[in-house]
Amino acid sequence: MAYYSSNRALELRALLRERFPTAHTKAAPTRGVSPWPPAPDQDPPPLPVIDFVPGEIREVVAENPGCGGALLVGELLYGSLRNKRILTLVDGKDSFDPDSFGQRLCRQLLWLRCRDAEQALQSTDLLLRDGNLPDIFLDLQLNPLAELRALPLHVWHRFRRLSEQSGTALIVLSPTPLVTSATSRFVLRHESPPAAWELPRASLSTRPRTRLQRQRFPHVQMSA
Amino acid sequence: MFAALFIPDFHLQAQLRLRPEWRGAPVALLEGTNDLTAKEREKARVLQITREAELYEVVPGITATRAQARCPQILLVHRQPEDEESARKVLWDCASEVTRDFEASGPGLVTLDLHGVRRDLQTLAIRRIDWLCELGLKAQVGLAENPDLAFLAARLAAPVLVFRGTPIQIHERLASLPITALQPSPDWLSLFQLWGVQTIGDFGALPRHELVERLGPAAGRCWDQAHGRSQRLLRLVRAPEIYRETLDLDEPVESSEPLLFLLHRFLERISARLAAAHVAAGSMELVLTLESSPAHRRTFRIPEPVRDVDVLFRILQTHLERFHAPSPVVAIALEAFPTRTLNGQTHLFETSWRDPNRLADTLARVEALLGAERVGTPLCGLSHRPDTFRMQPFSLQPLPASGYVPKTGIPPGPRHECGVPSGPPLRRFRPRRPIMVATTASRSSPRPSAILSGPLQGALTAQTGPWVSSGDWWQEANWQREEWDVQHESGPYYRLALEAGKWFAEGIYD
Repeated sequence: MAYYSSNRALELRALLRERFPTAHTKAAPTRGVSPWPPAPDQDPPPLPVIDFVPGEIREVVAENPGCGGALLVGELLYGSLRNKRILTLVDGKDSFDPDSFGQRLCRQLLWLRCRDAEQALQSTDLLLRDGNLPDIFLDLQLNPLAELRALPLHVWHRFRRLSEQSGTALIVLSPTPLVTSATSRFVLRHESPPAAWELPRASLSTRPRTRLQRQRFPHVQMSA
Repeated sequence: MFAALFIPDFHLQAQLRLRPEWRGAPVALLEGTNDLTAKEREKARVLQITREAELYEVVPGITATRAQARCPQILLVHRQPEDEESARKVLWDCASEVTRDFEASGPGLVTLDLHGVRRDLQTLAIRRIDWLCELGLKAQVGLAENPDLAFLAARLAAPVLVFRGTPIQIHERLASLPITALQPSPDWLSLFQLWGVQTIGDFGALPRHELVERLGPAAGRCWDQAHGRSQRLLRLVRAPEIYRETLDLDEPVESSEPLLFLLHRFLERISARLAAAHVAAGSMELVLTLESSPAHRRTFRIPEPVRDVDVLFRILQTHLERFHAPSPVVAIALEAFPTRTLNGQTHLFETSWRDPNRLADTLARVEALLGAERVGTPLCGLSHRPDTFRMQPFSLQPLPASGYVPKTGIPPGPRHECGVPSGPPLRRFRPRRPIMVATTASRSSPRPSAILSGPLQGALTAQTGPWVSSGDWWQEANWQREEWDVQHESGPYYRLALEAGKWFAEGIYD
């Protein structure tokens, strides 16, 4: 009976693939950043997407100042507004500027204005233990490197365990690779925006600058 | 069996019980309140009088001027709503001690349903009268088979009267009473006088059917009352329950552990009472009386009403962990304010929190760590001055789920319609960094060419600006500034500001 059922299922899938070929191409994820036009066949590999994945920690390394960390926050804010979810921003150096994003994008934002990295980690720890807030963004980009290097490594493993238990998604933005337990690590490349002042924000996406550096489980889908 | 607990001249007694100095004096209660003019006061009629005033032939219904003419030393007072409210609470407390099922039938009158009360009712009535007497209220109790008859018995009681027997026997007992005991309307009373009806017996002798035809159904009910036959359901009232626990400590307490121990016991008791009433705590108030400082008062709003001791205790524990009292605690009080439990499911398209109470507790912990002004949702656009947002507390209201657009709401729309400014966003340096800047001469204003101090030291390869802004010119604390967007030789763009002749690095475009 099981064999018969699986055969029928395979036949049905083949039939559907024939009739609706476009429905079987990989779609852009609906959370996080804005949808990207589907890449045509035999183009360069798809660009990585930085978004929240429940129960996972992702790290984004912004190696140089001004390479798009705040732009990434804006994209995630837009995603949270579109998906009607709360974005929790743990701001390690109190550097978020609400005026740069407008009142509407900030409507579903819980902003924690920390003074240093230690406060940021303590706050994140409390939020991960709570498990009510689904998406947490820990921004350590402007924190001094000496302060970040002094952080104990076991904190990241504890965060990973808490994240898995509560199903909370955590993205850490840091100036240098820090999170040893991250499922995947992205690098934001430095790219000076030439005369970008007049460009609309939507055209300043971080995706062209993003490179996937490390992935713990490559078989798990991650990119568009 | 029903009991009517009646306080004659309730409005007057409510004042006399709080003013012992008026005892033995002729006192008359006038209609209206204290805000009457002198002329209105003279014309105000007497509503209720003391026994001493009666001796001077002061009767209800005469004007204040006439009452004073008959008794020059009479004390004329008006109604005091606060005193009456206090007396009402005493009366309700007295009734609720006997049974939970009672009706507030009128001012100074409660009717009790005594079905299920197994004690000797007359003894019980006398004890209640004594209890009220100790609190300064003279009461009368009537016991009968129906509420209206109990009320008639209470009016005639001295101080307890029981009406028992067949309807004919009861009617015979009522027959000699004046017709006013049935409290007819003034129109009816004048009509009865025309008809020569003086007593309840005279009224009861009238044919019921014809009486109803002439005066309406209310006359029929009055006729039944005169025969002791009226039956009706009580409109039960429930005295508001107060879920409060207090304790005066023998020794002042300086640490939180003993307080938490006591609070846990308080919560156990309060929670049991809440469970018995099928309600939950919607908020709590904690009052810590300090030895040499003003009392510490804190109200806790509970996002999802519960009566679970552990949940409520965690809220108090979180607060006390970060509370530092200036002096030892000498008394402690905890009150829970009840509300209905959430027993319905949320909206189909709503995403609620997993555990709202836990989230509220977590946010309280984060606020304790960072400060309350550093946690919340930013509210921007309050001023044109940069970085003048305000933090508002994070809302724990559930959000509508993804894909659902309420009819009254506005869909998010494309990103360019979300009011997002153009260009890259700024990361602010808080506090902004004072810097030294080398400038080049320009016709309008100096143009920054290099940063000479601090970690951002270096040449500036591109500059745009200045953007001049000002505000609050009508105040002493007015401001005026120039902004420059500059590109550092290392690549990133910064925002510089010139204010009162000083340069600041405000942030980095990221």
